[in-house]
Amino acid sequence: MTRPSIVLAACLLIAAWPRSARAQDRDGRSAIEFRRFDLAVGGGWSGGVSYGAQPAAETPASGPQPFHLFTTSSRLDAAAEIAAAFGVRLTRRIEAEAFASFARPALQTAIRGGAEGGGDPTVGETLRRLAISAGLRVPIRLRPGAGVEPFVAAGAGYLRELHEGGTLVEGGGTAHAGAGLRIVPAKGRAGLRVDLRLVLRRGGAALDRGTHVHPAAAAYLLVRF
Amino acid sequence: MKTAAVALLGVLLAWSEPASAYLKYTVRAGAVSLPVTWSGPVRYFVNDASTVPGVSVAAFDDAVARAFAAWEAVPTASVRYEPGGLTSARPLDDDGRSTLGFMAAPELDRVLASTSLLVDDASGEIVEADIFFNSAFEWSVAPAGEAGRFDLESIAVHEIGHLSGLGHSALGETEMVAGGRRLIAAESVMFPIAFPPGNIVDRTLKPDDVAGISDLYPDAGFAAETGSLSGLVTLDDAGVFGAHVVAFSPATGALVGGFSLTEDGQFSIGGLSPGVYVVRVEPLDDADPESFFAGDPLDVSTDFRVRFYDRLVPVPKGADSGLITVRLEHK
Repeated sequence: MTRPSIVLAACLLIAAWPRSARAQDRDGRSAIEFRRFDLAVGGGWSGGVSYGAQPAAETPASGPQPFHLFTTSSRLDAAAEIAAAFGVRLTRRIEAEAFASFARPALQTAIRGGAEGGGDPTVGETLRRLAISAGLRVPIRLRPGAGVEPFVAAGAGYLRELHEGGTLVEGGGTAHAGAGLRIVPAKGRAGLRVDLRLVLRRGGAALDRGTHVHPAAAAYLLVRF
Repeated sequence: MKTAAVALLGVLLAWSEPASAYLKYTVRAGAVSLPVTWSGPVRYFVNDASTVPGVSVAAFDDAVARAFAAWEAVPTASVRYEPGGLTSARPLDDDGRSTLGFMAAPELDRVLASTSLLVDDASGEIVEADIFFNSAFEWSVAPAGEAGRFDLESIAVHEIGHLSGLGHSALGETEMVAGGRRLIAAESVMFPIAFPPGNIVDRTLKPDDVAGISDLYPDAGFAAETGSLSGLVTLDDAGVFGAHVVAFSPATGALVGGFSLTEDGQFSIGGLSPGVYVVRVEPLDDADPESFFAGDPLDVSTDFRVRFYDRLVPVPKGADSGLITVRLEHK
């Protein structure tokens, strides 16, 4: 199954389950009042990742060591992002949700050790990254009516990174796991949500074609209905 | 058919230069610059009248066949070579046959081998190409190379690049020694200075060579699967001719190069895998520009510093990066 189809399957699953969730949550024992859906919109921060070093190497005429015309080290910088999440309560203990985020991180390559000069510049470009994912969220039950609901969450999805100029796009996969809080006044419909996540990403504009893990944090305004 | 011998190019023992890039031979047809290529499979013959110690006719035939196979194996190129058998004709005779063989040329004491092309200067089509290997040198066809002898297969790979229409690459480094230049390193088989005797690394093509032969003889999917990087090189707001432009992939480490080839400093490097590239421009300031360009070498600008373009340049699949401008500074 391809990554986009995983996301689609998760969304279909969400749509198919709300009836049973409604029945199971009418016991009123949640930390915050039961609502079937919540929509969160906010902003956050996504950590950077290092893509390591790559020399511009030439084959030596003698000896085993390659000749380095210069060396490079590349990284994807941390960036602010805007994000949205839409959740559906499936059961009293489990919610499904879909995420989307957009960020403009800088891809930077530092050039060092030029054999013939050229300075030590850092060159870069600004990417446009769209990530979508789907996952499950498990609220941790506190005393009824507390208004604060911790949760743990995990999911997987797809990212698309568009290079500067808009002519080159690269896709990849993501997975995340983390925890957060929803803060909603008793009987209220609006509140706040904060998340801390570890994000595993593969592909996209990764210059080393490797898998990387970076932290991410976000804060949202939350509406429940 | 009007023809002209456009090149007599060899691998030099001690001489030339640093940097990177493939270069296509071209001929001018009016205002148009045409690449020099074969129009069909290249039929070649092997001279059996002249041999050197340690290299039999059969071993010579096998070594050049492997060298042709190295170019033919490039998956993104469609060039094809066909052995025509043995001949007593000498290389460099204009006889309509493309012949490879040994010749004694002791007066060319820095030339290991040389390729001559006979070209239709109206179409750019190669009519005949001959390669001679200088029997004044010690040669080897040993599988792992042989100390003190030049590897015939490696040199043949370089010359077959010329035979196919490629010029010299500047992707290499040399240093001045008594009597000329010594190779320090290279990253293209088409670099004009040979590796030392016993070395066999030039049996294997590098990304620069692969991009060059694929650009000359693209297979059906080449244009769709690769991209190009193009732009202008300027100094004091004027174009620079003969600057060496290198595209480096920080993802793969591949180095592919080209030159600014017009008065307004235009360059274009084709055959690049999609991705982002670091662009470096350097002068041909420690080599004889005649190794790379025909005509007046004074046209080649070298009065500038090495410079990196200040952005990463995305190269898309099947298209061009869009023009970038690299502004140089005087030394």
